[in-house]
Amino acid sequence: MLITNFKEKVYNCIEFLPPIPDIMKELNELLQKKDCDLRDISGVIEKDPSLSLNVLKIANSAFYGLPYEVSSMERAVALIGLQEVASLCMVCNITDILKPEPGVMTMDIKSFWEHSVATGVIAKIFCKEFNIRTQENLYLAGLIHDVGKIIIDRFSHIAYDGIIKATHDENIALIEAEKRIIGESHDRVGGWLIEKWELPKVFFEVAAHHHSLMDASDGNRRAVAIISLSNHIARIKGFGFGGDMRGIILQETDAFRIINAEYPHLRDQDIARFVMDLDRADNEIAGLERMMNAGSRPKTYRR
Amino acid sequence: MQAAGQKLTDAEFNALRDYIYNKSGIFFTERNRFQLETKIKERLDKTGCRDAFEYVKHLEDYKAGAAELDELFNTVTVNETSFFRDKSFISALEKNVIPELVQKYDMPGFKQIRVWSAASSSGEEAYTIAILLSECLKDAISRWRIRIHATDIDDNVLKRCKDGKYKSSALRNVSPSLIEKYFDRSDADTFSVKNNLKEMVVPAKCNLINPASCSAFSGVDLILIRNVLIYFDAESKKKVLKMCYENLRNGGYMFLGHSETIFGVTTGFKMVSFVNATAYRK
Ligand SMILES: C[S@@+](CC[C@H](N)C(=O)[O-])C[C@H]1O[C@@H](n2cnc3c(N)ncnc32)[C@H](O)[C@@H]1O
Repeated sequence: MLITNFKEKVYNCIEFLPPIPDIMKELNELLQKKDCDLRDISGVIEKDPSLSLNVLKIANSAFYGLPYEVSSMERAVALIGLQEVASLCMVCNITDILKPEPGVMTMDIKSFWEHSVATGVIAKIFCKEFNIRTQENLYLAGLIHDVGKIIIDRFSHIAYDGIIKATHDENIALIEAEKRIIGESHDRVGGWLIEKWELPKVFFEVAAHHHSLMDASDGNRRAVAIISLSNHIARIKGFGFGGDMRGIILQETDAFRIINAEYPHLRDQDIARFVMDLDRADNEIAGLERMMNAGSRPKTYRR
Repeated sequence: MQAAGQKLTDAEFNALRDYIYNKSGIFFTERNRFQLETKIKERLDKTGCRDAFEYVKHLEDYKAGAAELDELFNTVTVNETSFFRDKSFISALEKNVIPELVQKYDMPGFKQIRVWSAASSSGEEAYTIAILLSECLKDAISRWRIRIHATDIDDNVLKRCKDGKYKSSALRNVSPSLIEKYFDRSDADTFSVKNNLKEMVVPAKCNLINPASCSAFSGVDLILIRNVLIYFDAESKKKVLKMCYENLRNGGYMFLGHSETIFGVTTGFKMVSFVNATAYRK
């Protein structure tokens, strides 16, 4: 069932999504500035009360382990950082925009977000554990790396259902099934969406190139590699999306090689132990996923 | 229930610990000293030795010693095991490793797979592999030559493996349809593995620390050496893992227990991550 003019058709589908709110553009612009101020940022966020509420809720969650409860946006920004708060806003907005219409059949959204959250959380823990410096907001990058899947599913749920079924029946990667069944893949589609949203380039590259690291630009390749590796690890930890159960030699992935080229000490680390110990992140992942899904839902939403 | 144990003096503990270590590679650390103390009382009582020094002497006595050494191993080993233990490990085998081996050796005139369940305890692990292979090969299994070596240092558990009789608690993770297919119910709570499984599984005594005793298992395609490395110290662990590497065929897999890794031991193994399970490939 290869689809002709797929890009054009998907573009139409993307057109129907609500645009990314202006507030996100404002935030992004502020963040690009060298001397951006706490008060400017919190001011922008506070313009949207429901957004502020959600951000505070997440900021007060166990994930950030703040010593006391914060109730003002300015305190939240001061304690957990500009980048972090900005990405929380982004998360709240994106889950909101991509939230399925009531009554419409969709793929398993819960396990989709679980995989995305896990990828972001693992990326953060990985960098911390192995002293890998990054400017990028890896948590957010992890969250959006697979958005293309939602778009394809929205475009044709029946097709995507078939794709996911194929991964279970044949024990193959989702991306292989996508290419075979619809002739396109979620990385490219995700790239189209992020491009349209005009998010910073690194997010575009993470979405578009996490399966083809060599296509990433030199400046962003490492960030893309970290997400790609975390994506593999998320699957290994049981936070996969689809039925791909194959084994993987992490040390032989492009992602590992790219990171290792800059951080040669990585070769000598006990990666098996690192992966095992990630069990401790399970609660964090589950908690964040719940909050994200609940936080962005209107009050009428019920499980 | 602490009263059941035998308090050992430091000197006694050290003597016993070193003796056991030299003979089996099992190393009792200060942390599991209590474990040794609870178990050793039984042997002291049986042999009529007054303290651990006398007992070690008794073990060194070449006539009585050999038999008592086996008894000692039987007593101090932890034999906990069950069918289909560790779901993720099982699904890595079922979905990946077994189909891969089957595909690799599915050639006219070859069709042969050898598995080694080293430290198999009472055989549940070995029979589990037999079931997985049967499920994968279906009727074609009659054209295959399958050998699953089930080895352990402990005679008591080997005997149970040979008998192939299990309590229902050992089968708690086996689905009713598989129980139906591969077991005969001998009485209310006893299940015997059927002959077609028994034909594949070959129990044998093997001390992993002793290279001579392991040489019979070279050229195998899959080694399960699960939940036994924890009893070894770093040096023995290194030796055992090297031996496993040498005994494995190229492209073969080794699985350790769920929380065990080979980190710190240089081998040619490649770590393959499956969903919640790690394997090492040669
Ligand atoms: C906890 S059981 C593991 C059973 C099975 N592999 C599993 O994971 O379910 C550990 C087994 O290791 C055996 N063992 C301990 N030291 C050994 C040695 N040096 N050589 C061979 N087997 C040994 C014990 O007798 C015991 O049956």
